[in-house]
Amino acid sequence: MMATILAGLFTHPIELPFPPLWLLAPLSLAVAAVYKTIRTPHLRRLPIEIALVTLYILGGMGMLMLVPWLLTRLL
Amino acid sequence: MKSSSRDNTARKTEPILTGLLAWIVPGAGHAYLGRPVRAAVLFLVIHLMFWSGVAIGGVFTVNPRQKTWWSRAQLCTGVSGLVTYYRQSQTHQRLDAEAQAHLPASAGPLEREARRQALVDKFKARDGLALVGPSGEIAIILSGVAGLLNIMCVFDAFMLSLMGRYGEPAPEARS
Repeated sequence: MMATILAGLFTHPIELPFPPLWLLAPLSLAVAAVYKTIRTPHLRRLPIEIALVTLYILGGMGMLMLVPWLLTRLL
Repeated sequence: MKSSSRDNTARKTEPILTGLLAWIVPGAGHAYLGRPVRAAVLFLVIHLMFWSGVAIGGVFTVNPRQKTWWSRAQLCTGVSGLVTYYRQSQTHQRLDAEAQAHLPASAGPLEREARRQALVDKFKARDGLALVGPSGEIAIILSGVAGLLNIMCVFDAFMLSLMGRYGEPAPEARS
């Protein structure tokens, strides 16, 4: 029963209950996690470093989205 | 000082084997290099990302016929990528055989190919397997980026092994 449900889960596409743009957040988190896990010399500081890099990525993307949005509003 | 996790030269490791392990199971290369915490984080993050993509996009998230470069990136996740590749290949063969049975014998080779492709696409839609809209694209990106991140892990593990590093780096001396 469980195997059938799992097989169906990875066979048929699922409808996202939210806009796909929100998946940028876990994508940024994953990139930050892998990058910092490889690079950091101090494992104790890993969570805070991952959080910081995630915020940098999301902030950078937010800024990049803000510029064209402002341009379209002003022009 | 604890000897096993802090000693950088305690054990000789094989770079090719390290790279291969890191490709087959994301994080395994770092586990082999005596870095179990990093290995666990890499294993969890890369697998979660890849299988989230496959859950969103379904069996045709890996599709070498239509998304060649993305599928190559997805295969960089090792066993997970290979399993998904095999599943889509089996499903595609089944739909292909079904389409071949519906083709008219009188049609020329070009027409047959065009009709076969159209039928396969139709069957994918009928069975609810076709990727649709931005969710499909996001699914491919999630699983593809997981593979690209694993390339980074493979390279890191290979280089650490090549430099003879083993275990976590020693803490820096405080001034």
